[in-house]
Amino acid sequence: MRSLRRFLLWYALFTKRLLHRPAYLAVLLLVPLFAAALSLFARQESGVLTVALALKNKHDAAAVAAVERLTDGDSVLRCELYSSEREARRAVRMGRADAAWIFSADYSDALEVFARDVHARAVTVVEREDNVFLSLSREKLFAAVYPELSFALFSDYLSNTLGAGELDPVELRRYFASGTMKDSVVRFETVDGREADTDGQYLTAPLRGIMGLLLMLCGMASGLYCFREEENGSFVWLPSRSRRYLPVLSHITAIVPAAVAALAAMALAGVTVSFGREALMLLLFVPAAALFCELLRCLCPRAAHYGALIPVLTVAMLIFCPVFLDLNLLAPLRRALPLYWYLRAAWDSSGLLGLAGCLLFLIPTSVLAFFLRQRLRGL
Amino acid sequence: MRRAGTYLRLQFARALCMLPQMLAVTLALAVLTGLGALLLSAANKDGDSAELVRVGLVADMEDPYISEALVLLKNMSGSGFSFSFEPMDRQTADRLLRRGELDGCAVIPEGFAEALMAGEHRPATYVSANGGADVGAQMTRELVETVSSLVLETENAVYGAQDFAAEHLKQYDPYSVGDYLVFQYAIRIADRSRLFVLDTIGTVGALSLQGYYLCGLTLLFLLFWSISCAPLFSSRSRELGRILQAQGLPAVLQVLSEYLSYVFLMLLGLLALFAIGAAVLPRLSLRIPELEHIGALRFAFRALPTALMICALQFFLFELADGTVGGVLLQFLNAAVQGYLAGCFYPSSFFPDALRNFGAVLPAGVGMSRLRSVLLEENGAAAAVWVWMLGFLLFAAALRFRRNRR
Repeated sequence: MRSLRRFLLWYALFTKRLLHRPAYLAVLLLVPLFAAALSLFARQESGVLTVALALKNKHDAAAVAAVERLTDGDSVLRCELYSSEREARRAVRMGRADAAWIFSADYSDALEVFARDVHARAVTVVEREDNVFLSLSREKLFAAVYPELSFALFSDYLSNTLGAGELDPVELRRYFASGTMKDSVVRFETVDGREADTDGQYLTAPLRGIMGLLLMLCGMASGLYCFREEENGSFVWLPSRSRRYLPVLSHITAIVPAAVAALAAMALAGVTVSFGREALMLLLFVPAAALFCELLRCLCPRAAHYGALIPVLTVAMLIFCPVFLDLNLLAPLRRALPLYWYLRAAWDSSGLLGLAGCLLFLIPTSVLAFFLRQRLRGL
Repeated sequence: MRRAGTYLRLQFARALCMLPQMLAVTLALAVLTGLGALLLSAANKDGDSAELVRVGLVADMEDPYISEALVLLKNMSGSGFSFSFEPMDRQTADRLLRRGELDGCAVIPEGFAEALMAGEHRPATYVSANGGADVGAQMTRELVETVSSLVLETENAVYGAQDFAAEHLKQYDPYSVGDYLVFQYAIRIADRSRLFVLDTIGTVGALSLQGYYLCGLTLLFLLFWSISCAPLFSSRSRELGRILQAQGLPAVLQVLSEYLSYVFLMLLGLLALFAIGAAVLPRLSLRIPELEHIGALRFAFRALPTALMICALQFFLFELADGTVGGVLLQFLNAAVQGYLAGCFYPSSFFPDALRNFGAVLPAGVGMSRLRSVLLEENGAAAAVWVWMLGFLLFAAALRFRRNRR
């Protein structure tokens, strides 16, 4: 009981000294504000690519239908209809659009010719340079063109190939539309078997990674504090048995308020999973991050070395952990980072096990590093 | 003035003490970024230099429809993009997905094709590797949904043709009618690129993707590098500032001396980065057309004002922070938020107009615009860079003056 009271007293003291710092408080307040603002902006119209559409023949019903499919759909592609081919090309040249799709004057005829002979050009695609995103966008273009192409092929097949002759277009349409399949033939899941979040916003998706990085930074910044305290002998009056826990406690007290702010930020942005899972993830991640920072601190002989390591580690985590993109580079290295397991635990239950394993690994490792450091300093 | 000169020399001496670790940080950051770029370009290229998406396929490979669909799916590729499908069982697929060795997994249930033919809804499942909210996963999902829509359209057309044949063309077997029509659709889908005319107008007046990311990475380096300077700033004594002011060294000169020593460190770091880049970049398979045109030295020289502006911003933040933890966190938040809004991670064209416009006026956004203009040999954002730089220095001096007077 006495130990618990003492622990809580030290916890409160360490937390209080941080909360008295306006800069630290400012960071805690700015984080949820940033997340809320980002979430609001993310609801506005945006897209990975912007495509300028133009119709050479505004009376071509098939072309108009394809354009409507492109402009009305909810997609990572943002399509805007321009008044003319010239304006659409200009948009690409000026960088306002990534590509322009110009539907030819004889679009419907071109589709019928393509359905028959496979040689016809229905859409002119104007791009500044070719890349993966633009290649993928042309698949969306084909999907928008496909219903009319499908009907053209259907009509030609029945009339010419099967020899049914000239058919009433209304009758043809009736048979063409008689198919009853409407639901998608694909559904999306995570590795846990849960339905994947298909409404997720790519703009707010990196928020969890940024918050995780922030928590790691809090622990590392606290490490700099500990170096200064060691140099100043701030806690030399404490028994050595009690003193050995202070660095980790210092890291945890730096991380916990930031974790609360981070959780609030993620909730405001709508990137959280269930409350229970988030609580469990943080319960494992916070001590793992604290022990990881302590391990690093013990491995660095001086504050300057530790300070130099901070940006290197930050950039390393940005590259190797799936904060913005999952590059899957140097897999063994990234498995040593608590941040990787924290991010993985959001969509994969084995990530929770990995995080727990990471924590269990860090406990003896950081203790060993601490005693080694004490030994070397004693020499 | 003599006092100012002495103080300036002392600040330079303090900065020089940190030089070894600054150079080590620069080297480490350069190696890290270069390693990431190198591994990324190596990992994503197959023999045809195409971007590879690795998808596991859990299906009955004896089913002829599955084999045909596999051929069709392999053909769903653009000029820089190809799928790699690997048949496997579900447990193996889950294990490889968790390890990140697969980008996704398609699970085709037994009797999928027959169910489609019979008009029953028995969907396939696409399992994404990482929860699926990031840009890459959303693009892949849209591609999968595109495939789904093509399949639906085709199937509905086939049913219509079979119904028509059953009622009006009794000489044909409806199932043969359907099979042959599916074959015709498959040919059109395989040759779909012939439906479009591709007109590539080049990147004159606009930046290539490689050029864009050169600017982004340069800016990110400048933004994150400051975190390593936290010990330099956190060990300053506030009382010394008051004493110096009392002895006739005003806040402006104090700030200027400290800022110049910080800039000195940053310039040495940039010089080291430039030397590493000049030695390593020609050996990588990365081409940056604009850099080849303008020359690396000219780019570095013209990018200097941007580096000075970022230094001024960081100096101001260190002046604002009143401790180590606050200082480091403010620098990180500044680097992460401004880097994100300036388009260093996702291109700014991904953002809504309002967010893009907001990001463009922030210091990092102005810096990004300036670096892009430098690569394009234009004068955009030149004045804004100087305005922000002077503004931050004035704010820092005002803060120091106020603090010294307390």
